[in-house]
Order: sequence, then structure tokens, then C-alpha cells
Amino acid sequence: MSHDRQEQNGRDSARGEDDTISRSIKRVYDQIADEPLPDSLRSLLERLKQGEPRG
Amino acid sequence: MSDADLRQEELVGHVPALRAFARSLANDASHADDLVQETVLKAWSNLDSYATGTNMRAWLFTILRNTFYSEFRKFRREVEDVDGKIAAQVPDRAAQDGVMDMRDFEKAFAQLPPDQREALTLVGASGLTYEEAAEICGCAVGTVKSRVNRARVRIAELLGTEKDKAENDPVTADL
Repeated sequence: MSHDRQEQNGRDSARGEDDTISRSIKRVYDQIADEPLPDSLRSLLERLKQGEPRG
Repeated sequence: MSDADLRQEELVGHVPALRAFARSLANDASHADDLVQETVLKAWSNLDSYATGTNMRAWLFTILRNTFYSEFRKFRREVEDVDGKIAAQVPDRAAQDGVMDMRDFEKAFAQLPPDQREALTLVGASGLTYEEAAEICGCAVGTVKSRVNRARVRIAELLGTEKDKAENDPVTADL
């Protein structure tokens, strides 16, 4: 295998690893963002909308 | 709908992203939601100071980050995960789709220092640019890039992919 080809394979491997990490961090982030809001937070937002910030 | 109402609606729309960012900083879900509540309260009472048309998500992330680090300085020992207790509490989202074992990934992620977790989350997950992330973190773009790079390397090390890569490397495999 030529040196250039080996270097290219190394870059592809590193890029693939980065892509895997990127997909994983994005998936964790999206899972949390897609969760329903906890009751405490929904309650706070309702109170704020009604002008009762510290309820 | 008034301008104030529009701002309030926009703020509410960013709460899910705030939760995701908070979790990357705090690790612990309960602590993260406390951070979000504090951030929402601060932002709501200062909505007049938000410049309409600018990046509200970045503004909110900055408030959350400042809140976290303010607490971090006070309770440093509580948020450090030196013995892996927080990492061990990460729920097992066992869904396997061939990308990476998510429990392993989350454990590795939890072991990163907060500045690397936030950089990786801001750039790699929330869709912000390096420039926006740098503004939120109050540092240079190069610093964010460096943190992201170190975070990736560390995760790869923790997951053992560096070892796998070395074993599969045609140059070093036979050494």
C-alpha cells in the first residue's frame, strides 16, 4: 500500500471516528430536547405567563 | 401579539434546547433542570434587555452557562465526578443502532471536564458556529476548537477506539 494511500486511510478513519462522536453527541442532545418538560418547569412557565414569577 | 409576548413565546420555545445544554454541563438531570429554571427566571425578568433579532438561544445559553459556573465555583466538589458516581447514574438508553453504545458514550462524555462538554455540545449538537460558541463561552474561537478537539480525542481514548485504530493501522499493526 502506498504511503499516500495509508495517509488517506488514516484521515478517513479519523473522520469516521469524528462523525461517530458527532452523531452520538447529537443523538444524546436531541433525546433530551425531545423529552416532555418536567412538571416543575411547565408549572413555572405557566406562572410566568400569568405574571406570577415566584408563585 | 405584542413584542413582549413574542419574546416570551420565543423563550419558551428554546427551553428544550436549554435542557439539553444544561444536561451537558451538569450531568445530573435534576441539577440540570434546576439550572434551566434559574435561567428561565433570569431571562424572563430581563427580556427587555434582549435585543430583538439577535440570537436568543445564544443569549439564553450564556445566562445558563454563567449560572452554572457561578454555582460551580461555589460547589466545585459537588459537581466534580472524580469517582464516576454521576457517570454511573446515567440512564441506560440501550437503543443500539450500530452507531455507538450510548451508555458507553454517555459515561465517556460525563468524564470530560465541563469546558470540553459544553464546547462539544454547543458545536457538535446545538448547531452553533465556533464563533457563536466562543461568544457564549467568553473565549477565543481557537480555544473552542481546541476544547472540541481535546474532547473528541479523550472520548475516543475512553471508548478504546484509539486502541482499535492502532491495531488496524497497516503501519503499526505488525509492530
